[in-house]
Amino acid sequence: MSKIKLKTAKRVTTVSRVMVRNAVAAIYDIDTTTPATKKHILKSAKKRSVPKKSLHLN
Amino acid sequence: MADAGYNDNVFVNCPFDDTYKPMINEIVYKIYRCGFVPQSALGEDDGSDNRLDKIIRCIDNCRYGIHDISNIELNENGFPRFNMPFESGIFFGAKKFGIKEQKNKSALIFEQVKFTYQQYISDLNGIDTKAHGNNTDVAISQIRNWLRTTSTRRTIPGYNLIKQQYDEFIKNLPAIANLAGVNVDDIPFNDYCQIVEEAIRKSIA
Repeated sequence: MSKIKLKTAKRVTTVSRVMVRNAVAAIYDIDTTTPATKKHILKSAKKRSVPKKSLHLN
Repeated sequence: MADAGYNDNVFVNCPFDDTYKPMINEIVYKIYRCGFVPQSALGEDDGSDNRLDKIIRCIDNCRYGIHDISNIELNENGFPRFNMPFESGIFFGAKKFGIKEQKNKSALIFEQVKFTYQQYISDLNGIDTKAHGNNTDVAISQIRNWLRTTSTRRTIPGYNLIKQQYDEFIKNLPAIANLAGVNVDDIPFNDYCQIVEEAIRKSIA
């Protein structure tokens, strides 16, 4: 696999990079097909008061 | 992650309306995945700033430019939108009259059907445009190939790998957006870029 060097730009955003990084980690770090993963995501969503339906988990 | 410079920036001059949004989202992801950074006037949110100034600043900061001049349909008032051809004209002007690095500018001109531009913007005659036929896959493949040849970077991944990672990303986007606290149907350009950066950082780690 070719290795690119990811480049980024400084941007003014409405959410912090830490929040986005955590959200991506919660989804990408884990295989979402296992019940344990589902549980982890749901727990994380509950903490942030995110409706369960909006997560589109199978 | 490293901060992007002039040689990494790609000016995205495409319609930003709802019908074009899926294609824009995919273009943004794939520009990042090829190791470049998409730039658009949408990225700046200063109400005191003139819109044209934002666009000119954007073009000034970008070596590469993707210009989709295919959107020539008349709106409900019977007028076409001239923004894309106008902005591509500024890009060409910068290349022609700009100093130093501006001379290195490289553009990809998209239209729907090849050579239809001769009917409405014949001054571009002699320019090798690309036709995407409103097909996202075709557009993305052409962007990837153009970035590979124009930048001569060997690190740009193959189309199939990019496509596969994008499919996974777009499947996860609603959940990521919700966890991050943004509305997936109305993600601001900068927020979407930030999500893409983090998702790619994860997938290539």
